[in-house]
Order: sequence, then C-alpha cells, then structure tokens
Amino acid sequence: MGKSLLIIALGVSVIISFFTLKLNSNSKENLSTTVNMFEQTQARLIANSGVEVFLERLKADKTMNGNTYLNNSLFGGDYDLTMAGPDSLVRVTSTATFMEVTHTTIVEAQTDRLPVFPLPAAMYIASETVSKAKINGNITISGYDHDINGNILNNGNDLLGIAVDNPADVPTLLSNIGGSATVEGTGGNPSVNAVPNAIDWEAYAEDVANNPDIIINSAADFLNYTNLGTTLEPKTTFINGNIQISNDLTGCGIMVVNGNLKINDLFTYRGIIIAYKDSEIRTELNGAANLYGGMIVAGLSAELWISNGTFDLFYSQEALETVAQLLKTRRFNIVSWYE
Amino acid sequence: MNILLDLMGSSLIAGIIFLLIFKLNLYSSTANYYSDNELRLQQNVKTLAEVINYDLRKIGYKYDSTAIVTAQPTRIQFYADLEAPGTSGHGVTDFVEYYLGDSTEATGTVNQRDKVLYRIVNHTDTIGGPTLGLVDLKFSYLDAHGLTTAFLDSIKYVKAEFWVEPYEYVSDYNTGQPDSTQFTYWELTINPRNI
Repeated sequence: MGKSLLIIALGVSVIISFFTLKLNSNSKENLSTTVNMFEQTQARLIANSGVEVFLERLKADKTMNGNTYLNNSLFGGDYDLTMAGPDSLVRVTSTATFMEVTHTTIVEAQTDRLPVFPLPAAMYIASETVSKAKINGNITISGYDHDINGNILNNGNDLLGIAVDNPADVPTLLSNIGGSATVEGTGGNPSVNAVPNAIDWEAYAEDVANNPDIIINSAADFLNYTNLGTTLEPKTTFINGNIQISNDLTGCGIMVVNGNLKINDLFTYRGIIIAYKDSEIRTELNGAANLYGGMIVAGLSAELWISNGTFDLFYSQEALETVAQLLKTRRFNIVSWYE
Repeated sequence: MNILLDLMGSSLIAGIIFLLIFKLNLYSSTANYYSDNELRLQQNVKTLAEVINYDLRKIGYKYDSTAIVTAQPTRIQFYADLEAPGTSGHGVTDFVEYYLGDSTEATGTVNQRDKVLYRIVNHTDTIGGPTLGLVDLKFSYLDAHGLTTAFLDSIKYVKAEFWVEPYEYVSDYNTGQPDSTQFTYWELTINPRNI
C-alpha cells in the first residue's frame, strides 16, 4: 500500500512539474517577446539621439565632420557614429546597440542659413512694446542710408527713423521719447510712422537666441572673444542677463539682447540688434554706442537710456547686405531621416 | 469482513485519486493551451507592430511633396523610399499601401473574425500573408499639436491600433463552450521624421 502511494505521489509530482515548467517557459518566452520590442525601441532611440547629439556638437566644431566616433555610451547602450560630406549635405550614420539589438539611423542634414529680412526703418518697435518702449538721452536714430562705417550716403535710399505697426501707436511712442533724442529720416522730424509688418520678430529673435554663435551670460564671457563678429565673418550673438561692456568692442551680425546691457566704452556694431523680452540698453559714463544697420524692439518692454554718453543708430543697407550675404549660422536643417 | 472493508476503502481512495489526476490533467491541458495561445498572441501582435513600425517611420523619406495620399481608418497610402542608403533599390520612391481585408478572406482559421492586413508596394508587390489573428485595425492621423486632422499635409503623427485574437476559439474550462475572450491590443503612435 505504501509503495503504491509513493508511486502515485511521484507520478503526480512529475505531472505537476512538467505542467509548471511548460507554463514557466511560456511565461519567459512571452516576457522576452515584450522585452525584445523594448530593446528595439531603445536601440532606435539611442541611434536617433546620437544623431541629434553630434549635430549639436558639429554646430560648435565643424572639424568633427569627416570623422567616426566609436562606443559612445547612452541610456545603457552605445552607438558608433560617422559624419561625412560637405556642409550642404552632411550624412550622419548612427548605429546603436542595446542588449545585443542593433539599429541604424541615417540622416542627411544641411547647414541652414538664417534669413535676414529687410527692415522697415532704422528702428522698428512692435505694437505690444510701444507703450513700454522708452528712449531717453543723447540718442540719434537716423533712417538715412549710411555706409557700413556710419558715413551718410545721400543716395535717396532712405527709410523712416522709427516704424511702428499702427498709426495709433505713433503718439504713444512720441510721448515716450525724451531728452535730446533725435529721430530723423523720411517723412519729417521726428521721423516716426506706421508701416505694415508681416514678420514675427519675437520668433525670429528666439530663433537667433536658440542658435547663437556667441553667448554672453556675464561680462567675463567677453574675455573669450576679441570681437562679436567682423564684416568678413558676421556672427549671431545672444546677450543674456545684465551685462556691462567696459572695453572697446566691435561686432557684426545679428545680436539679440535679453536683459540690461550697459555700455561704458566705445561699442560699434554693424548689423541688427534685437531687444528681446525685457531689455534695457544704457550708455553710461562716456560710453558711445554706434549701431550701423538697424534695430528691432520686440518683447515685453525696452528702454534705450543714454545718461552720459551717446547712442547713434544709423540705418545702413550696406551693413545689412553684408550680414545677409556672409552670415552663416551653424545650425542644421534635416533633409532626410532614415530609421 | 475487515479485508472486505479494507478493499472497499482503498478502492474508494484510489478512485478519488485517479479522478483528481484526470482532472489535473484536463486542467493542465487547458491551461497549457491558454498559455500557448497567449504567447502566440503576443508574438503575432509584436510581428504586426514591427512591420507597421518599420514602414510607417519611413513615410515621406526622399519624397518632397505631400507624402500621405490616403488617410483612412483602415487604409493608408503613402510615398517613401523604403530602402536604406547604400542598399539595392535606394533612390527609388516607393508607393506603399496598407489596408485591412474582409473577415471572409481568412477561411483557414476557426476564428470567424480575423482579417488579413495587406501590404502593397508599388501597386504590384502584394503581401497578404496569414491573419496573425488580427481582428481589427485602426489608423488615426494627428497634426503637430496631437489633434486629429483630415488634412493630408498637416499629418505629423500616425497612430496605429490593432486588436488580435487567437486563430481558434478556446473552449471554456467550465462550460466547454467556445470562448474568444482572449485578445490583445497594441497601440503605436509614430512620428515619421520626414513629414
């Protein structure tokens, strides 16, 4: 009787064991099916992220092009990446491996030039900023065309001194101009009038601020640059925060200012300055600011405050054309993406 | 008398044990069947997801105009170069179509609801293949803000949902009746980078 029971018990145990093993193996297989999908997704995301990371790096260092970068770790996996081709069509091949699953992403990108739009006046003030735009002190805003060095051309290629969006904004703005400010240009003196505007300058400023060649977050950052662009190589500059210029400085290109910029020395800029978000530009002591090109005021508020010094803003088509022709932004536009 | 009682008692116990073993065997067979079905469901749905994911991510690749031609709940047509750079066929724009067939087309399976998903490349290369238990499929088309759109050139995301059941109904352990409660659902929202 005891032996029979033992045999029966062993038989039942064997059946249950087989049953459990089968269920367990199915469960494992099921899990591996799901996990494999996750691994494929992760490998694809690592390969894609690798492309994004290296295109960002390529913006800052063009010598990276033409090279291969192996075993870059990311998200628990790694990827090998190759960049090749001219600026007009850089091919980036990223092969990622995650838990033995491999994925290759091939992207073609080209350098994307920042557009330079024609200006409606030496200075344009967006309607949302007009009531909070203040211009005060020894400032000259001229819509007459000047050469790139600030010499008047008298060629008849003249614009307004200041343009706004709506005729109703004109008296508001005039009431905000104080001190010995001069606004000259077409249409009499002060040369302020409404001009239709189709360009979203705030978005444009944000575009520049997101992809600048030079970022100045503190006065110490100026030490890294001898200039903010030249007429042979204009650059985009983003000045972010409360910054003081205490040495002679020149620049050429497009500059976006977000914060308070104090000028205590000679500052000459050729191109476009965009006062963006909440900006204040002051010249103090014996500072002299010269801007040959044009200025856009778009954002929450803006002040041009010249307490003891001068600020000359001269419209210069030559300066704007120089910037338009030679400015190369280092961002990339995706032409095709294979994943 | 005692021997007789021992024999009756042991026969009863043996009978109960055999019944238990028989029931255990029945239960294990059904459970195995369920388990196998579930595994197959998962594998089938993953296969479908891989195929759709692979193709839909290439929508608009190497094609400059509006890439999506038809955007319906069970049919999508689009242009894309399906081949990777450096492989044969790369550089030729393909016209790809996916559509869900009718349940009457899948006659080889017991499940009356499963349908064939067709993949047609360049109007000629038609692949129907097995149903993989697919009973329903729905494509949704979303714009850059994640809102459903009917404008082909506004589509930025394609959402694919599919429902998969076993090829054959599984008999319910308690009632013995065909039971199709086993199904799996998979959802993918794909952002083709070229549109």
